[in-house]
Amino acid sequence: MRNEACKKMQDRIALWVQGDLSAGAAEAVRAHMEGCAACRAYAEALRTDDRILEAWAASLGDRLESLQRAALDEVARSQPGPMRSRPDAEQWVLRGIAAAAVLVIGILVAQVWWQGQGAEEGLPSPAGPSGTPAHTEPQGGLLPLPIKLPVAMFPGTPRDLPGVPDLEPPRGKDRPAFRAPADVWNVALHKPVTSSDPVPIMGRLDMVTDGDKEASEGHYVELGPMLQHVTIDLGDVYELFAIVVWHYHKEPRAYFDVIVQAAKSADFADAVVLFNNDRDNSAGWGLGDDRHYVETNEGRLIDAKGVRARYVRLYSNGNNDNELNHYCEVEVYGRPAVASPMPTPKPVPPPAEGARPKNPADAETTGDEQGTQGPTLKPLDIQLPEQRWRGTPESIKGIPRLEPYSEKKRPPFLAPAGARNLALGKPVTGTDLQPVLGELEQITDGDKEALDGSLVELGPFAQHVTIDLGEVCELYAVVMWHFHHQQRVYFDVIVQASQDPDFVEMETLFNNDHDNSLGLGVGKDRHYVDDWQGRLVDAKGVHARYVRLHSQGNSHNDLNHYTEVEVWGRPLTQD
Amino acid sequence: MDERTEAQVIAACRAGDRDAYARLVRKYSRGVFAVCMGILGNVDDAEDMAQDALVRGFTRIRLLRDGEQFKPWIFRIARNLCIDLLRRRRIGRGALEKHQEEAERRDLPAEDYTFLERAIGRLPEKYRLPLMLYYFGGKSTEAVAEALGISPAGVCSRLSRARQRLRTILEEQRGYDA
Repeated sequence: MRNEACKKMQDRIALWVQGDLSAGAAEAVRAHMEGCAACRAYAEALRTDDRILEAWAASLGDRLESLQRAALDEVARSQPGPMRSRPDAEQWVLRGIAAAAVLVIGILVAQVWWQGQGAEEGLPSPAGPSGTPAHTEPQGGLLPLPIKLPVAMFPGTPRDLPGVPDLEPPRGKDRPAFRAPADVWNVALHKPVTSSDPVPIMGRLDMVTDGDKEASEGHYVELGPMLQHVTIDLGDVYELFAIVVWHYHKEPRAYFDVIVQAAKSADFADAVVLFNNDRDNSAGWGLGDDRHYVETNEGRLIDAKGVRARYVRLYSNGNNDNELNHYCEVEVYGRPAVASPMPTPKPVPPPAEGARPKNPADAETTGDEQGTQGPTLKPLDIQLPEQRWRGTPESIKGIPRLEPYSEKKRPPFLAPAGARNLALGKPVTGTDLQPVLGELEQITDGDKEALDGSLVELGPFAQHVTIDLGEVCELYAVVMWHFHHQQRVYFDVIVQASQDPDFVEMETLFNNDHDNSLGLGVGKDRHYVDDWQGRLVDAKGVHARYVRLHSQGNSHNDLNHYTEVEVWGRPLTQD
Repeated sequence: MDERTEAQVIAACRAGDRDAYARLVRKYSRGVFAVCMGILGNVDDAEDMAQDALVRGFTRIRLLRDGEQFKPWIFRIARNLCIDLLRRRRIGRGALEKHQEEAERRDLPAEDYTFLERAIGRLPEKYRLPLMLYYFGGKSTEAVAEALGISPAGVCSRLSRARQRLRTILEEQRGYDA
């Protein structure tokens, strides 16, 4: 069982033992095992494990019965708690009428106020003492944070909320501008979010950092009752200046036990507490000095005082309306910890003259590497997997702007000699850190067969994966295989290349998001049918270290798949 | 669930009918235990948390939204309780180790599954949870898929990986001879 062929066979043996292989694949496993005693023994051991697990589960029957009895004994001494206090539809209507009336009054009051403040329109207020971050940046280098506020969902801020002690009084005016170094930006945007409640009641965890901070339905994530937290992994250590959190701000609410921590280590062993309004230490992180506050469209801005951290964690323990926990958005304003002044995002430099690969149609223009006509161009040696289907993709119907399908082999793609698949074995991260099927590393493992065990299945909605090539390279082509076992069209396929992990400045190599549903720009490329040849995208010699691939479901279901991605190019250091 | 639909049983529970809740406990306690075992990897802890979750299910049943299914809701409560336990354990470092040592010193049952339970405890949650839901849920991949909100194909993949990982752990554990 130690040789490579057998190791690869383990996946299939495990699927075979549980009866989850197709007839053809099962036959291949049986054929292998006939000549391999080690794999036969492995299969037998898995079967034995199955029997032991079953017997073990059965052996716990008595304990499960006593568990039931104990639970019911306790239930006999308990009462159901109060009803969910969320208003029903009828109450919503009444509330709506009342809110509309208040809104009209609010608008009138605001107009009067606004006329007196007209000269200040668009100008940030000067930073107050509490609005200035505690770092040593000269005042001249500080600028107001450009925080974009969502739509206000109710006028004014209530002075009192029932059941909320020690509530901060309303400020009665806009929050003063918070000043931070000019090179600070929201480093949390689109960063991965984990939570103590990984299966939210409503929404998805990635909504916490998706840039959408509106409070209406479909724009927030609802976590379960009791103490819950979300953690944002910024991907690197940053110097943090401010954290802005929007819980649910559609109606006046105060959240309890709001604790905000920042840490360099993932286990928060070195956590710094930036905000804490847990007045009775019910969360166990110490008594908090901060006050309860009412959620508004301004969000809560927390001074991060220049702390250096990679992870930001936010706790809460229900709110004055119900026991649940909500987030519309969290922004973390910071800059890389290593940089003093952060360089302005570098534009991706154009490829060196002559380094740009030519289309096959231009192949005759290739020249000598030392000559004046640029480097020698050679066809990329792309190894294709087995063709899983043939003929016209008749199952694909009704897809707008679909490229006509051709079964013909793709013409060779020419690139400078020495180009190789730089993505092979390179680390992959993604928006879905726990794929439904497979592991992210399989995207660059060199296995592009459309077989069980070769595929990575990411969750529904928009997802992306990012390959870190380890250094800036000159890229000539990206070849991607989504799921080519069946005829499928993937939607909103966008391929980007960048020199920085945040893709602040990047080059879009392919985009067929025709309605800009991903918000990355309207794409002009056409939809295409995935097949065994994969999709080759011309990278035009761009200089980049990171390659990111987006998609948003496919013509068959709303999931996202990758069998393999190859990135063909050369390290810049090689030249 | 007998002649009453689950929605009717839940309505009765909301009105304080404990007999009605006993039906839900009998129906879902194995699944709740599987969730706890999947997260905690320890039978004693899983038993405690499952009991807590089932009691909370009753005391908070009025928070269940109209039309919301009881099963995913009680599973979520169980999951949150377990995660909270793990977090509190992390704060009081060493408590878990002590707990495990105590558990190991106890008299072993006639059918000794200590090695298996220890191996299950070492599985990553990603694999342990579907494995537990599978073996405590009548070995139905569809039921696991429903509980985890993933496709049946995804469950098959995770189960096969769980088996492989478990096999490796069992092989590593000294003295085990399957």
